[in-house]
Amino acid sequence: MMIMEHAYAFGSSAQLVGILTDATPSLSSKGLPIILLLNAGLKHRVGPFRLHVDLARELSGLGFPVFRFDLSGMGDSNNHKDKRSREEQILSDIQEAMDFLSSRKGIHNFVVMGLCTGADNAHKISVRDKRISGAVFLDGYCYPTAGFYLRKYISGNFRYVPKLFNPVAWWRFIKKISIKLTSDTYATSVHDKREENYYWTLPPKQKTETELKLLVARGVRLLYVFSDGFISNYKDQFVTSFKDVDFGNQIQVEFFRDSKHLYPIIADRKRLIGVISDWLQTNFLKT
Amino acid sequence: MNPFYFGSSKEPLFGAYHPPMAQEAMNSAVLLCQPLGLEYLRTHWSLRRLADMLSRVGFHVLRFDYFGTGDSAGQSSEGTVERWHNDIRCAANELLELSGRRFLAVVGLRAGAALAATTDGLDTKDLVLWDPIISGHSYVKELRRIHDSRPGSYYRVHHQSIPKTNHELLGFPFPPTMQDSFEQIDLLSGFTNNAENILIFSSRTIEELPQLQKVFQMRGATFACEIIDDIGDWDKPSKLYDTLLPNAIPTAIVNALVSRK
Repeated sequence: MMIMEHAYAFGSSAQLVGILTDATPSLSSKGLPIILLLNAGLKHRVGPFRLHVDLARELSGLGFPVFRFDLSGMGDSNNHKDKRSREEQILSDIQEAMDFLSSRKGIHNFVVMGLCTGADNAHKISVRDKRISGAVFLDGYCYPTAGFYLRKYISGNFRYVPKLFNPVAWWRFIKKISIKLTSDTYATSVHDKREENYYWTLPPKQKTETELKLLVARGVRLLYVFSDGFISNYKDQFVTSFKDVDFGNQIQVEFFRDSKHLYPIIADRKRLIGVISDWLQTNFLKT
Repeated sequence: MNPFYFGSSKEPLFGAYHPPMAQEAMNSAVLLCQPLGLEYLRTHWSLRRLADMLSRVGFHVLRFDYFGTGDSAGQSSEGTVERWHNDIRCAANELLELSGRRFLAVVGLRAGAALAATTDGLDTKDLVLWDPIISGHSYVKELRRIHDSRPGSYYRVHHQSIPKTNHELLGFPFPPTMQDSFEQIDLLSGFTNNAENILIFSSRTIEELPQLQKVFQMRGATFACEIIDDIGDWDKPSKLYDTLLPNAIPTAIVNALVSRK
């Protein structure tokens, strides 16, 4: 199967660079969204281990056009020479990508997808721009629960199994969890120092909850995929931490037990691409 | 910078062309040959920066992705050394056509240096080898050692059931055809680039330097080597994912190429 890809410099001063993978002509149909792939951490648009290229080519075979591009100052894109905040620059970069693609392809709805900082940016643009009809978050916002701390503690102290039978250790553990859950100090930042040397900030949970309600009310379809131990360590953590949000049938949450944050194992990447493909087909191809 | 696709329409290669930004353009155009695998991801920013630096002093510069890498056509499992040699020749022709220049300088980093050095039929004036891989066999052995050391960022969380295969190396497919062809690379016996001037810039000492010097002398090329204190850390598992942000070596490369105009 021949894959059609085009390289573009776009944006107000052609400072941004992106690659459009066209949908396979025989499958392309009107109404399907364009998939936007955002930078993961400091990695350029091909993604960790070329994940974004493999994903783009797989999805184009299902009929979805896919655009992978570099935000300003990353990969092949140039810096902005203005004094806007970094967040404003990033959100306007994504909006410029949507404007560019709308004028070129006549498509006005998008599914945005990102890993790590990409998920952070995907959340923010989904809240801001009504052209987003779906979003895929790979290790997106998730907040600690009692179950998270319990698993973290047991896993981290597995070598010291005898502690499980020590009442003093349990008392210390319960005290530690109570302090964390009440002070919410954990939920301030995620530091992926080993893998990315990159920081992103987890917003206050109440803010995220309000924004998720807004997205659900707007009919945005949501897919959350969590790797093991980066920000989540069990499947129900996300739903448990947002008990007050009625997601209806608009959400799917997947937990990849044992997978690392950047999906370095080929089999894990294949599984991830499969989950995303199935979700897109279920939510956008069959409606 | 102008992004574009070139080469065969069925299997196009991605290129990033940096036109000269100085008033007076240099006589030669510079082709940058990227590393492979995880080192390609680590060094993308370094080579983009080097391209910008060269462009600012007046060079036409082309970066490109080999078949099966980056944004180019092909799956990650499909590349071979023979194919990548063809890609280098194709990219060199594209650059000379784009730039209207007659003289070509080639800068290769790590595996990109090894590929550039072993590409024949490339009419090169200056060949710059940055932290070059000298032996494909030793390189693969070293990568396999890092892979098998199960670096924390690579291995699965609970250390369960990584598929036991030799066909996967540090996150990328590494099928036997690719491995066999890469292990054949040996700069001491297979150096085929006909460059007039050869420059090596290295962040660490090169054991094979005396033998390399003999190879270059036999080919009648002028040769210089500088060991420069700069970031490399190619053999450290803890640095696998760290973006390479060097300064001294790119600066030395630009100065060297400018001095040869």
